[in-house]
Amino acid sequence: VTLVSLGLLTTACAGATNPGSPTGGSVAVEPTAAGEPSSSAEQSSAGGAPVTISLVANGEPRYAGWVKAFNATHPGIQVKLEDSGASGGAANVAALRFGQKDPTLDITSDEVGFDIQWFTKGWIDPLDTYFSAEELKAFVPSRLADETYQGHFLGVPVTNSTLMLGLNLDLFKQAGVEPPPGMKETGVDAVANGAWTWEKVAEVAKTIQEKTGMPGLQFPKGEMWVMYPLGEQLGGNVTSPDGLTVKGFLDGPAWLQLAKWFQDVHASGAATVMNPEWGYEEFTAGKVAMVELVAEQNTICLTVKFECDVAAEPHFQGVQPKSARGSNALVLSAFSQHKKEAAEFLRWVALDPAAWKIFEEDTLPSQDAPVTKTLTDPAYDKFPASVKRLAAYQQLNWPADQPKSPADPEIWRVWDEVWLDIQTGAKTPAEGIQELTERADEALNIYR
Amino acid sequence: MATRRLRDKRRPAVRYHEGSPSLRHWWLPYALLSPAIFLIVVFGLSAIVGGFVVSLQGERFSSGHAETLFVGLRNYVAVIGSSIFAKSVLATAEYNLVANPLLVGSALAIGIALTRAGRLATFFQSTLLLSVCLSWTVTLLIWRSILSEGGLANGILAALNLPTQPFYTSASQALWVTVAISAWAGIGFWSLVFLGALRAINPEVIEAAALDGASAIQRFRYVVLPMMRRTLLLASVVLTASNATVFVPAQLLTLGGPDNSTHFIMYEASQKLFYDGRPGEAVALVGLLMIVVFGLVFIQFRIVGSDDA
Repeated sequence: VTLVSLGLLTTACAGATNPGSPTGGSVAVEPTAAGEPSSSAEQSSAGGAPVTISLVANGEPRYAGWVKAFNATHPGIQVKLEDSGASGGAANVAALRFGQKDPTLDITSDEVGFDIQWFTKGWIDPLDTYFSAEELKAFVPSRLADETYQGHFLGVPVTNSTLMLGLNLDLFKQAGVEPPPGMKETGVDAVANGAWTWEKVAEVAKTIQEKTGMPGLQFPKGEMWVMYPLGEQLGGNVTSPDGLTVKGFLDGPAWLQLAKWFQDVHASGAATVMNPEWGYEEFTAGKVAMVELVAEQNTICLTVKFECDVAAEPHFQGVQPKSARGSNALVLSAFSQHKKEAAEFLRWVALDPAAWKIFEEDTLPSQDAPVTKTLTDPAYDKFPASVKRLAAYQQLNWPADQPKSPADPEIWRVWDEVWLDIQTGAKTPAEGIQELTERADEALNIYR
Repeated sequence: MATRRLRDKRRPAVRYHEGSPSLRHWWLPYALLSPAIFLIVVFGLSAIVGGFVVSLQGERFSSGHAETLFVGLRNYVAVIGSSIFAKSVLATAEYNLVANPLLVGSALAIGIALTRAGRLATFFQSTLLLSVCLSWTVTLLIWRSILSEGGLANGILAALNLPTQPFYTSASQALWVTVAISAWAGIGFWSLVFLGALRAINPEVIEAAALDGASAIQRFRYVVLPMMRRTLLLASVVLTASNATVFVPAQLLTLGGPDNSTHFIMYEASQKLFYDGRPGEAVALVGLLMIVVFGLVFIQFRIVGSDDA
């Protein structure tokens, strides 16, 4: 078994240490003027058979929709979608294939922060040469900033993950307490201005728990990254601006304060100490009054049998609201043999309104025009479609800063482990923050 | 002595080189073994050598550029010096120290019980095969459901007015939950293996020992166990290797927690590869584990084994 394990690891790792794949491995392509249609599809088709490029992404419908629409309009390029299964699967699959310098991998979806590590390792090509500065203005500024590292544009941002507060109004009624203003009854300005503080959320959650026996609040499975904007509200930063130092940042008072609050709110019974397998099932089953909701769950109220609403992301007393913003992006493999064609697909996804249309039935995109349009488009006047309008408002007005470090994946996986321990009480807040800082610091060693 | 004589009588030594003409060539055994040797070299030894090479490599980064370097034992030093290493070793050691004896002891006890199960033996054997037929993933999903906060186990505890338990969400219980699930998953297979070994023992040997005045415990200790030596060695070696590389429960049930109580070495290695993008450190961890497993297997051969084992 050990031999097989080692064999698999070795096979996976073969060539994983990239022997100097230069950033300049990208083919030289003239920056395209904004809005100018590319002709590479015609060039490809002129040579005969269409060029097939691969896209590794999870099974979310937007990717299949994009591939279908793109292939139909670009006869010279055929994109083949390789479904990686789970949402984080694409990053794992891609990391293995990057490690083997797989020339058949062209584009992959990544998780927040992975692209900085991949760029640092020379696994992906920045997209600077494929987008003009004018074209980059198509993105929401915060999402463009997410994907910009050391002056390079690393990937096409796909979605937004701003956070909101899902409400089970039935449990509020049972407990006899008023909910925060939600999108069901009022407009986005009133909801945003009436956003509760986390102190208020904890207080009401406790009351609901005492009066109904149901947990008042839940932070869902595998989403411990939601702690980052909470810490930032309190003035915390994960790393130094260059992303290479955590000591003096991650072990600062803001994170300790947040850890204490987080543990207290669970220990008091106000929030449910989740089982590791719980996602949003407890909320959709009507067993919890409030849940931290990501923008991708904007239609969750359509799937439940109780009276459901969505309120703005809470913030701590006396501080500026800030909500997460980052999510998936599409990146170009440095080992691709069809960079030109892959870049054309990325440009289409980024810049063509035909690609944006898919978000009408999906979550919030990262392009400024459709996000801004959501604020005034009558299609989003009525609940629950209006939830997307709230997400758009938060994305534009309350974006948190995205931590940027080549060790982001390492830090986030320790982050998940440690915040789960703080939540369950397995570690004291001080122990948790200390371990988090120590292991994050170790992870950064090779990048300094 | 009686045992040795009976065994010798039952299985006379075969001297193949004196057998049929086709078996007289010196090279024939090697030719027959060559496919297996080829596979071992390709998928075993080459993997070890390749892994060792990767474990000696590191990277130096500049903006968008990575250069592969020979770093000597730096990866080994890094993983041993990391704050999670000692916790991973402790979790893996505790898991093995409990899981292996528990599984062997339970399976042996069930195997012995099955020899006396009479007409119900077939039913019990079929039931035991159920756990063998389930993949680790399905097994863990089932037990995750049973042991969850609102699951069957806590429902039973609540019905009996006993305090409900956090099970795998508790730092003090999670490791033992994974051990118990591992034992449940493996007990069917090993019970049947031990049952086969027990049935292979000639009853006359045990009867002879009984006639000599040996008690039931003495017959088990001095007759049955020695005659099952090969099977026990097989079980201990296989379980040591497989349980030392335990990974799935941490990945699917506990995410290595709570409080790193199930942060097994292979879990850390997988995280280092997939999340951290550090193949050198991942392989260094597995290499260290492999050395330990080889050492343990060697000791097991010395303790349990013999020339014919």
